Amino acid sequence: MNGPAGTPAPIVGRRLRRAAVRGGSGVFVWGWVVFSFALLAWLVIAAFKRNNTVFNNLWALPDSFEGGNFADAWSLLNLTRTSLNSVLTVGGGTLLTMALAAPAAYALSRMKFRGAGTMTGFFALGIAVPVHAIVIPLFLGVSRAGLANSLWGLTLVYMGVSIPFAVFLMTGFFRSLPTELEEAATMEGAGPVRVFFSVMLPLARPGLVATALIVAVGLWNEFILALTLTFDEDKRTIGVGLLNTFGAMRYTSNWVGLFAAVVIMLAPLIVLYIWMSRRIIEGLTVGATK
Amino acid sequence: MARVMTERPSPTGATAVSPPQWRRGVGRRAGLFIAPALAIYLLVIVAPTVAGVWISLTEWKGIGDEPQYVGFENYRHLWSDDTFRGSFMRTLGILLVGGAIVFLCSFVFTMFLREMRAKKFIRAVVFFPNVVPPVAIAIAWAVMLAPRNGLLNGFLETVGLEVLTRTWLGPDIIFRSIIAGLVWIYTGFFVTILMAGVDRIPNYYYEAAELEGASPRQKFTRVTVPLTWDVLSVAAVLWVILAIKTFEFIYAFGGSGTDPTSTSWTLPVHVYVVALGNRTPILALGQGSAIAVVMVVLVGVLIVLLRRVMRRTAVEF
Repeated sequence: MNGPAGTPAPIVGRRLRRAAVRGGSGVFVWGWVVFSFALLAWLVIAAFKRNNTVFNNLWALPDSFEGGNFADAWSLLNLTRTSLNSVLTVGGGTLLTMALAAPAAYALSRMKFRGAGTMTGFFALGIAVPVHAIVIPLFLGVSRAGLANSLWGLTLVYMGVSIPFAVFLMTGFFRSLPTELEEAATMEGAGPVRVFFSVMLPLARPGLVATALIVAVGLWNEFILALTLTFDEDKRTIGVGLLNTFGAMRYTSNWVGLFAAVVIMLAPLIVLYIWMSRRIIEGLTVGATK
Repeated sequence: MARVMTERPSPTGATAVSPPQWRRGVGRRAGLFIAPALAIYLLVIVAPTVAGVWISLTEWKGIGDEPQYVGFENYRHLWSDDTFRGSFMRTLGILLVGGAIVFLCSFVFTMFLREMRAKKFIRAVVFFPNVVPPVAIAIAWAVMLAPRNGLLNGFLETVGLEVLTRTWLGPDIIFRSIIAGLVWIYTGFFVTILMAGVDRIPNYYYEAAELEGASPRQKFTRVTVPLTWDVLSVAAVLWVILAIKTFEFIYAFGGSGTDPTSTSWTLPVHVYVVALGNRTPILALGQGSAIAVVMVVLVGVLIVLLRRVMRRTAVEF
């Protein structure tokens, strides 16, 4: 660091070493990317293979395209039903979360009242409580309320577990908005409810969309609650359906059907991701770095 | 509300955030905005957390059975239970060993990506596992590591490295395979968060460091780390939460129908298996709740510790 940099030999050595470090991390990073694509590509290709020959040559392309694998997977997953269940619970849970968390985040970040800071902190505490730690009381409570094994029960719990993080993210967004419009609207005689709906919500839209996306992705990948709170075949969500398909595979050895099921599940995700990833990533990083 | 504030411009020239005519009764109005979210939060998260503490002091076989108060019996049992100790140590293992690897990989990524054209593309690729349902990832990972016909062993044989083939899912090393999977999933998440911090650092700091002859490592330790300290501390807290609730990936790894072998249990898997899992649940609700309480306490203690250790005046820039 503070050695004299005048002599040529150390500089050459240093340059070489830096090139090596850079090259090494380049290989690491690109290797990671290639590995990820290769794993995905293998699954997609294998999903088109014949079940009795899929493991004969791991690296061969399929000699025939078995589109039937996807029909099998569709019925194994009971996909018509499970995807509807997932969309209903995740969509419902996300909408309800936003409906409740947005006004709360607005009040916490923009209204000056005593205890606002404490209350914000109290909501943030909820982020640190893993759902896995409250799954037993939740199961008991939902059962006692007569909502076990119902999509309504699952939707309500989804809303509850999403609220702390949604409030946390949105207080960040609301805080970053300018105050002028809010004041102007108040001068014109608009009440707080009016200001919230006609001024703040439209201003905060990018943040709200990002929050909704992050909540939805989290719920879409949620697993333990769906596993615990619903048990009938026709109440399952996609994730639980996929796990059951995986479990059944140990007895039927229908591997290509399983791969097709994974591909069916990933395909819409990949499309959505290409379209939305920037928003998800930016939303998350704004929330985390504010 | 009690204090009537006189109207006066704030020293910065900006007016106060809430318009004056709202000030009276602002607490009540805020209450109306907050109450619904607060009610659901209390009902779905706070009440179960408290109830969990109470259930952990009982022996209870579920609805239909009367909970028996047993004091700290469940905790005493955990203390001497080797399976619990295993789950606890594995959770710590994910937290510390997994954490070290995740952060190391994330640092390499951030250092390399900072000056790259394709950085948004690479970031999107490594982040992708975070939006995929963990069950799907567990299936991909299980297929890759399967002892016979698995991709990894098949690859090693193809390139002539048979010596490196292993039964990756064998009880002795399955946990390492799981950690590798978690690293693959979560590194993208932390690359994303750390990069958000790094992207805010003005480039002239790096240029100045380069002029002074700083090595890549020095640029990292003298520029990147101090200037992203707040982001790093948020990332560390997030890792604690993520690591301690590792469940889905492990649970799905073994397939359904059977619970995973206890050599791969973590605390949440343990909670689920003793309380709710299995074809015929054991329904040891008190026992499971005690483990859940340990989890919450562990998260709390670690976050407080981390905040204390990482508290440092932020570097203004």
